[in-house]
Amino acid sequence: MKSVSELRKRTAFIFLIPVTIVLLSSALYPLISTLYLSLTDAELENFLDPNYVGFINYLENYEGMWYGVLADSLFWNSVRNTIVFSVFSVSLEVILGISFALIMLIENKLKWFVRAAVLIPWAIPTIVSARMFEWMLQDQFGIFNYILIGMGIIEQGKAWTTDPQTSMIVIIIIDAWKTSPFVAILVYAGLKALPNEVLEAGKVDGTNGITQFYYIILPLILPAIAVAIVFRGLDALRVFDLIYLINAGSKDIMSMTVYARREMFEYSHFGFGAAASTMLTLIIGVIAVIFIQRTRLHKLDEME
Amino acid sequence: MADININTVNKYFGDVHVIKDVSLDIKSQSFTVLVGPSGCGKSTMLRMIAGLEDINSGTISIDGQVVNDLPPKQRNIAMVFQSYALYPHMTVFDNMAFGLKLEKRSKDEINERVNEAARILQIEDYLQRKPKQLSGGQRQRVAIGRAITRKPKVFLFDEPLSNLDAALRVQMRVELAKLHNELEATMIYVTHDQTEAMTLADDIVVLDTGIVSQKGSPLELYDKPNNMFVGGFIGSPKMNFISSKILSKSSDATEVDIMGMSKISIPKMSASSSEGDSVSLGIRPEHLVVNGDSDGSWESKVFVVEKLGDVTYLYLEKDGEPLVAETEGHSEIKVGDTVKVGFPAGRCQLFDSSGQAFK
Amino acid sequence: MNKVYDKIFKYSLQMIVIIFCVFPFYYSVMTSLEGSSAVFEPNFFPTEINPKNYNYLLFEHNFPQTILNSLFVATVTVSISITISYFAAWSLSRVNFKGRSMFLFVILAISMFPQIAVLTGMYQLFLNFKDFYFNIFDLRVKGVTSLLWLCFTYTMFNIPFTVWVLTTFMKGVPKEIEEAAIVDGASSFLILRKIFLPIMTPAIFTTAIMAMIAVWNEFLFALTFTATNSDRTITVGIALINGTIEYEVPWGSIMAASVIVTVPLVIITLLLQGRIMSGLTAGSIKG
Repeated sequence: MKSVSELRKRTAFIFLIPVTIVLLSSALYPLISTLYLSLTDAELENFLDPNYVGFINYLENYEGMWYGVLADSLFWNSVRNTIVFSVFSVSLEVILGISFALIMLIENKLKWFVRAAVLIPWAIPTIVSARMFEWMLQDQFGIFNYILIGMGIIEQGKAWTTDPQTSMIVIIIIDAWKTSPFVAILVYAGLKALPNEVLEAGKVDGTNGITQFYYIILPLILPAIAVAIVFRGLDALRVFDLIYLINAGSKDIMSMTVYARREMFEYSHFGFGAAASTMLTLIIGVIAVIFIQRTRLHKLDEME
Repeated sequence: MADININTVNKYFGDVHVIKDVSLDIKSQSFTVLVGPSGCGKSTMLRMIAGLEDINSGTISIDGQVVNDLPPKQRNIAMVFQSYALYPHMTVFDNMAFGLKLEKRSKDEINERVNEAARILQIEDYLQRKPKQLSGGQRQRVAIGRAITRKPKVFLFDEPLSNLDAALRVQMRVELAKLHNELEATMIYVTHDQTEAMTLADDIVVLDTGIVSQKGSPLELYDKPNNMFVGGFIGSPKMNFISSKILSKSSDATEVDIMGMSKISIPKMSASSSEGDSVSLGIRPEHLVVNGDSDGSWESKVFVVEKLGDVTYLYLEKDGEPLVAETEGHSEIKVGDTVKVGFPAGRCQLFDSSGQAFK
Repeated sequence: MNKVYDKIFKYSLQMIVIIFCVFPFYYSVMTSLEGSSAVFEPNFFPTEINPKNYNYLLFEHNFPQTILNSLFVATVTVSISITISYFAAWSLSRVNFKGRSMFLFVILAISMFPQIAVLTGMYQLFLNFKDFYFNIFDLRVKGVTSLLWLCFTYTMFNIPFTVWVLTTFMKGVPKEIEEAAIVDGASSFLILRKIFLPIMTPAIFTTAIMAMIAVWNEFLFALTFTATNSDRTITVGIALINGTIEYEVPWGSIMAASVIVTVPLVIITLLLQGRIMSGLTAGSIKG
């Protein structure tokens, strides 16, 4: 006869078997095989049976010239684009998210509508938001140009999404539109968790809105904001669909994921693409570890 | 008819040794209260009897059968939790019938038993309600009812009244006492509230950091505490402890000083003590004689006066030694007055430097 | 006077948020309802109501097929991952064992994994799966290969999320309720079925909806693993809507398609507003 806790442990392990299998086959196996493929000459023809070639997909000196992912200026360009995108979109989302969260706190008849409206961008598929904004920003018939022309700011419609100078800005704005609500909801939950007395005490001390926010509320919701930044940051670093959809062809705004996928599925350079995605994983991994260390996210389980 | 024998039981949570060599015999049909401050291991003890925690070493037997490895359902026990732990999606009836259904009892028997329990607890009118629609007191009754329907040999209560407000707590306390008489079952009750322990128990077990400090009837513990911990824990307000020195020993008494102000000869002995040893003199506030003659005395200013109507508590202090004395409800003593308190030798306890009581 | 200004100020802030969030959606609904000539006339309110775009999508295009595909993939994926996660969540929230925090941390780490990191390996697996599948089944059902594969990969990518959220939700159920059931004589499996399932139903439903939305919106895998008109999911379907004439983007149809796939999501989200908010926070904050 087994004691209750032994029995529970055994049941628990049985219940965890399917998840473990899934995690191993979904994460570990493909990750390892991607790693291996990055050391091979895999192309479309020999994809299932490639030859081991060492690190030449990463870096190779051939007759005095450097080749490989690390020598490709386009790769480093995509790294730069990804980081620019992540930094600006996450910053914008945090600012918008906090503002939205504060506005969501206002108690009046519109309260329900604000909370409902905020969830709409979150629920809309990225492809749809991309197409909606493309349409609104379209050069000839887009409402945005129409408004700007009407206000006399520009004389003729501008192709915001296809112009390399503005397309990154457009992508950041679409991403902010789509995901600030997520930040807003996290911050809102953080604000709701604050005891009312905290806000009341501030009022008694004679603080006004802005000082109260800066000195009392902000420090208290900082953990919620940190969590939002980590989640959004890691999500932004792997951005694919928005950039692919808005301006797939442009080298100027290509993200790391777009770069790696293009090598694999457009040029069929599977080995090279695998090397690029391995680099991307490494870069994101390093950033994630720094982030998580600094925000103590790994202590979450003990914090509850 | 279920004796419970606990034999040198140990329990570790990781590296923390929470129950240390505890042995206890709990008589059939008795009402035993495990009491102690939070973290003393009393709930762990109860949960080990229930089968919700493993035992690291030692044995627990119910009715002569070792139950260490038996799951709770085979131990013939029922448990009532502090947070009630009612199944929120079931009606009161279903809550009380769940255990019986799992035992595959017949419908008639389930109906009969649930209705019987509901009658005893006066919750017949709520049987079709959900726990959400009940007040705290009603929920606690359902939780007790859930235990009754199973007709267990042993009832385990884990601080069942702590979530109730003061008035309701007193009322439920009385009802639990009545219930114990009616059901004639063994009951083990965990609480941190010494009043509940004193009023309900046949036997009180005082636990201190995983060790049984003392076991005995309420009055035994009140009159003859084994050590300072029990002396301080049982009784309200707390027993006073004054540091003192042994002046001399005779064949049946020990003479000590009271703050250097007077001497008192206390009819308690300890073989291991000798003249000049530091000891603590313990005396309950209600045993001090205010402004009257006694075997020894102490004089000090009054710092705080608490008038409770039936009694008055005086808070005194001398050279950093606080003392609480009880006097009559309509006392004329005011803050700042100097009072003389007398120590009746027969009411005094002595504890050596390790806290053990003189006998 | 001050009070009135304060009120107006607050209402205008709220209106800004509402318009910011809703306008793009409103605008696409409006565009989708306009005929070809009105589409190319910027305006804020519809000048006509014309079902032409919807008729085209629903009756002349394979768009209904993509909706069915997405529904199929989402239903299969969500049911499997919720079932597996529900049991795992019990283990991770209710049972103390060594390495539990580690397990949870690995799950969190995997949920933040860049999908591209496993894409090459996944693609290789996919080709093997196809071979295997073709050898077993006859040609008639070949069309669903990609969809089955999508179910498989989505299940895998959903599980870290659903496990994480359900674990958080389950931690919220008082442990005494389970202990009471143990004392009543219920086994772990019975507790999960008779006690936790009814208590957790709202949480499971919320998690399922969120997982469903994630599957519905996925693009990278759908783009990589589907190749023919018959096995596309809605995201790829919308991405590939082209005009009959080159260089002329059929904005009306694209907007109509967007509206069709978005309206159910918006309705569900509005109905379950509070639940989804708590689900989103459970998925990240409390862990």
